[in-house]
Amino acid sequence: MNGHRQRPGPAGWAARGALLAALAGLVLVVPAGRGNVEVHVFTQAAIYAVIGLSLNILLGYTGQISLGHQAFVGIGAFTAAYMVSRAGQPFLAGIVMAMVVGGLQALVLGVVSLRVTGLYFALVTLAYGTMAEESLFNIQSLTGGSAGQPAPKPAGFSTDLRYYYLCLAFLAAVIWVDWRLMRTKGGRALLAVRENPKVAATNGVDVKVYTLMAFVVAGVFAGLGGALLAHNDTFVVRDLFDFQLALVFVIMTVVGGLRNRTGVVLGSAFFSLVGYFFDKLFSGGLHVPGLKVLPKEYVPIVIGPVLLLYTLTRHPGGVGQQIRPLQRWLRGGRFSFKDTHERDVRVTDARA
Amino acid sequence: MPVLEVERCSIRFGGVQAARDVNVRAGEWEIVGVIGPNGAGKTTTFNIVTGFYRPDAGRVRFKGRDVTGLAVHERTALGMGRTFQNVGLVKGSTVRENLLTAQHLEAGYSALAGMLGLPGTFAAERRLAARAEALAEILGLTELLDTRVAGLPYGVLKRVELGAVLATDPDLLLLDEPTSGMGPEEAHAFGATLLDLRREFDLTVVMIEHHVPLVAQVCDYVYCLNFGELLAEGPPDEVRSNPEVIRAYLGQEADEVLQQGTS
Repeated sequence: MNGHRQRPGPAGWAARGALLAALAGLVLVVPAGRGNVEVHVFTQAAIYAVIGLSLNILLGYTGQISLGHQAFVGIGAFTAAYMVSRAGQPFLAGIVMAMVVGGLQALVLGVVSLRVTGLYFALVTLAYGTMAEESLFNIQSLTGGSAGQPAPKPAGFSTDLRYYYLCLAFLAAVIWVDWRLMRTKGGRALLAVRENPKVAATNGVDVKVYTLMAFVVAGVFAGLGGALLAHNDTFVVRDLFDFQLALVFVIMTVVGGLRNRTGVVLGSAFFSLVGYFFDKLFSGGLHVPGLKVLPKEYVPIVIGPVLLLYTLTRHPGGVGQQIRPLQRWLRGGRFSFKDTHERDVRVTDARA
Repeated sequence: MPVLEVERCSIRFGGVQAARDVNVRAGEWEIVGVIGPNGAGKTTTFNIVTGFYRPDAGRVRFKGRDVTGLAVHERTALGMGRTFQNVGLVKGSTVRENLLTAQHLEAGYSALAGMLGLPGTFAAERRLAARAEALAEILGLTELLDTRVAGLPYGVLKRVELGAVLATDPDLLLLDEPTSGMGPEEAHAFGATLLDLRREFDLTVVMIEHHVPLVAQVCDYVYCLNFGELLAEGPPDEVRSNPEVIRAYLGQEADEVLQQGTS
């Protein structure tokens, strides 16, 4: 951190502005010219980012793993769908209720986490997810059974494109809350509790209250994500919320980079879009020189683990670490790869 | 009225009586030393005072109020500040972030208001940041504000930790071996710093300390613990020349060797 850092000239700032504008354009304009199927995929990416930020609060800020996040999200989805199609409530009421229910169920798990930690807590969340799948999601009136529960898009946002922008707005709100959380006393308290509860308490932090707060905020985000997901699909089916989804949530958050907001958003969006892109890129299968063609359906099985291993071994900080040179450059620093290969991101997140 | 009164506190862990009938008092503006060999129960006493341990018997009074049943963070709110033997900092964060974290109770807004980004919280954060920088200035940490704590040398960590404790705005400072890892000259300089800080921040200090010259330099009163019990108390010179204290430090075998030498 030397004091005399070189600041870019007007041309440098213009280049940075141009890149930012291009990125914003990518998010805002590109989906506009696309068909409904594609917009639906992009919307899902924005919603996954909300879910990733939810999980990041538990996994990143408090160091508690949740293997039952599909239940958090699913309950949000069914609550919103139930509110709209069974209780005849408006869209916004469904969203709010999904957030409330999401927060409440997370609070219950938070209370458990005060007693049971590490690997055992991971098992509790796993059991919770399975329990929700097997019992809650089988309640006919809540989920509509195997037929599913309709969740039409809200008035005024009935096209896929408009709904996409609505979801972007919700994502922006979640990013805002996450940003302010980590810039104020609540976030600092969480980081202290995660690393050393004794030190946190000595600093005046009520460890129990702040642990529960983290769970509630994560639950509220997850409930919101679920509700948005429901209306994006316009039909919620219980089969969507299986354990595999929970694993995708965990992986996208870790690969995105724990405690790294931009990384988590990008990682989540990537994992949401990856199936779609693989479909497009490798519609004829993957041609490996000297070998036979790898059929389309096997491409993700090969490429997925390769990407995952590459990221986690070379960049333990995930996408957040990979994009660091670019972020530094955008803030007016020099473009260099100096700390992307450094092992400065310590893997201290396995509490088990 | 004494700031801190530990009255006949006892605690047992399984078969080990870690503290028995320990009494410690610290009056306003006093610097009280707690000495004793390893395993004497010094840190145990600190843990009873700060609320990490609940004593089996006895009371802890702080500024006249019985705090025996209060949690650690509640005692911090009342004005207790404590450092740890192995440095109580958030190691993954920078010096600045640690000084901000320690101002948890000084923020003046709720965590909810903070995360919603309500208008007043931005000004409050600027105020906290200014205070963190002022504290860093006092302790000579300005250059290190944006350095991550994890890589810093031990002596610097101790200073950062002192800054963090002061950031909680304490009336009573409990220091657990503040000069461990320091040489005699550094320890002497720390004594001078401590006297300055007491005046500047209006502090009462209780410190666990092994540097005898430092204890003699700054302490008004000294308690010596051994095997969880109070062995001696009094002004530093008196305790230092107490034969029981000398025996506790040198050990029984040394005592026998001395006796054999004289017979």
